[in-house]
Amino acid sequence: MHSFRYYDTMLPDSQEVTGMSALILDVILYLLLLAALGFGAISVIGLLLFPDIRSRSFTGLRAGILAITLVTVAGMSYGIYEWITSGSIQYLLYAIGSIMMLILVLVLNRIATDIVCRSSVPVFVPSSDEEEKE
Amino acid sequence: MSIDIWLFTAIVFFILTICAVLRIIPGPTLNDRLIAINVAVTLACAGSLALTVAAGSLLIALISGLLACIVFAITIRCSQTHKRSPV
Repeated sequence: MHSFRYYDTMLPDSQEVTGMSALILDVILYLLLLAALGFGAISVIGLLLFPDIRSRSFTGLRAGILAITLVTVAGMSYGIYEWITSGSIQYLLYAIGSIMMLILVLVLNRIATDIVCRSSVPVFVPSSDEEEKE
Repeated sequence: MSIDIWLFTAIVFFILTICAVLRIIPGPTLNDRLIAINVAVTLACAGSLALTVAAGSLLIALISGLLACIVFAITIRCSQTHKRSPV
């Protein structure tokens, strides 16, 4: 019977791969993660500064989603690269897990924001009589 | 001295999460608080993805994903309850 081992969930030490591909990956990771930090900062600043709930939710959540998307892309690139170079399946699991977390956050964020915005500001739907008058 | 970019990213994201959590306190309405909670959870998920690589453990991503599910479910439930209740 297969028993759960702690080290199944640990990412093995990354291989010290030198060369052009590793350098390019490092540069891409730095750029993606710094951009993610920038969007995260925009998200919090929007949350703190904007006065009404719609603009706050629009800025806060869109910038936050962009930030988590950039981190996911960086993690996916790192995971796939390490999976190819070291052959450890944990890196592939990390890449798949990060994509699943992104999808989860996107879907649940969308649902929650829609409900919150609709309950805070009721949307005015013109009746057919008013449309005919116009 | 080299900077671990994943750890740096995780720390900054958690600081931003704390800022978003602090925004929950002033409110003033429940919907303001729910929006702040959503932003905080999104930023915490991004931080946990970075921390997973920095710490080298997949359990961090798993636990944070489960916690995010629970918090989003509570948020949706709270906003639906608030919508139905008379103002």
